[in-house]
Amino acid sequence: MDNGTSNSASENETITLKSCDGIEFHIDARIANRYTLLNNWNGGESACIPNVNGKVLEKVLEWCEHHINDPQLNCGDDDSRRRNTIIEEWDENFLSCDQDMLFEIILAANYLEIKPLLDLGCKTVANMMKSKSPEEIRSAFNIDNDYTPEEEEQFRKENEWAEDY
Amino acid sequence: MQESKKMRSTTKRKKSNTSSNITNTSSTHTSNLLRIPLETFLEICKSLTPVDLLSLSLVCKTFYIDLCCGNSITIQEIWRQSRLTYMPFREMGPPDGMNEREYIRFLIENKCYFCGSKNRVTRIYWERKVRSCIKCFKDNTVLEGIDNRVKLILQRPFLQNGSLSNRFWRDQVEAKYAELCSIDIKDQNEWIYEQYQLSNDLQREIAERRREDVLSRENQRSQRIQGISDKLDLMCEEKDENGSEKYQRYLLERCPSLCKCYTYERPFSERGWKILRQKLIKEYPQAEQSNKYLMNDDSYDDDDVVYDSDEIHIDDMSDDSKLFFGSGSYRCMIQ
Repeated sequence: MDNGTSNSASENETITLKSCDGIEFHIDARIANRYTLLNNWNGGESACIPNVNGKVLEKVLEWCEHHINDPQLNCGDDDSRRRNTIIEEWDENFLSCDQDMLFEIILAANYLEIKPLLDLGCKTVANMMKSKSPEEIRSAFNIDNDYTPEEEEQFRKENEWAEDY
Repeated sequence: MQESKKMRSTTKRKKSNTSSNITNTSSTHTSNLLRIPLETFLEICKSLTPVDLLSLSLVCKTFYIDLCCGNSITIQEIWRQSRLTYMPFREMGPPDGMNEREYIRFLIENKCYFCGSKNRVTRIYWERKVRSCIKCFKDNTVLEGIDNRVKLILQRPFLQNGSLSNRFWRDQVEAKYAELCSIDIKDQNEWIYEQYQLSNDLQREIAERRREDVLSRENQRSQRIQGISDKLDLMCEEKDENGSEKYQRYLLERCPSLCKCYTYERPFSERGWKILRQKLIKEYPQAEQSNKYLMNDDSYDDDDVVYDSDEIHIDDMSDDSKLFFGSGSYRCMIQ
């Protein structure tokens, strides 16, 4: 099956990636070929990925490996793809980790330019916000309410319309 | 405006920055949502409904600034996409003078611009860019004593049945008349001609917007009825300790709250259902009781059952009853 990779890496070829805390990962070369930034760090023994630690890199690579045969999407800014909030079961389980890890994965995906994983992470977070009141969002994401009571009352009044919906 | 500038300086969000150590979990105090770069935050926002976006913007000042301040293209685009995805038949962009967020609010908020009432049926009057209840519409429009030249260059509002009203908005009449009087007599005809052209363009736009009003209202109404119906079906499956059904659909249908709920012009939400369900449980014994009473009464006639519905504005209802109960004829008249 044509998985859309531009480079003809053979199936058994592996490359080595190193996390910022020195943990090495031997991965299928086809993964690195798919995501340019992963490939950039395939520079021999001393090469490591700055900013991503072993725990997070392991998760990211696990996701890449599972999705190795996915058809590659065009890089265009396809909003309909992003709008689709349905998440596959495997991905849902994959991302039902603790919230800190979820955000680490999002940050790493952003940093490593792994767009589908970034989209998936963003959708997961968006689903965590759906149909929630501001107070519920605050408690779900541990955010301090920095409005003074007066400001809050003013904003609430200005935005009562949401209650109509 | 100044307020928002002041807030921005307190913004905690980090700039997108690839050189900092992103996996250094210094998140003990800062929320994850405030730790991510703005682009990623906005990416998350792209899957949210208009109301979710609004809730999010009220969580803290940073989010309010991110989502509601300024007219940046990225942020307007998020609101726009949210409208296109979650508000069926609202494809036209905002009218002059409104940004995307204001436009969405205008479409959703069922509040009379003049009296502020939220309990009445309101309609959008595009030529005046307001929502108004029927009473305030009458109070703020005039029928007589209008200069004929002013009549020529102002849009007449549409009536609820789709025909054009003979009324004009009083403030618009006054403003245009004052403008006309301030123009040199020899230039007046030219000015009127220009205004007439502009008015024609506007009239076409209004017709398009009204078409969307009708389609989205009908869509919303049928979605609402379907939503309520699905919930009622589930409710009717509930069994009591003896294994028999707790609620009968035909009795639920007789509860006043339900009758009223069908007529609301807004999407049916989970929250709406929670409230309705409570009311139905409360009203159910009475519906059961009056049913028993009626069954024993030979003179029973279904049409005679009138429930107390103090919150419904009978005036508004009669004007709008065509919309609720005979939308087919309404649509014909528009076209």
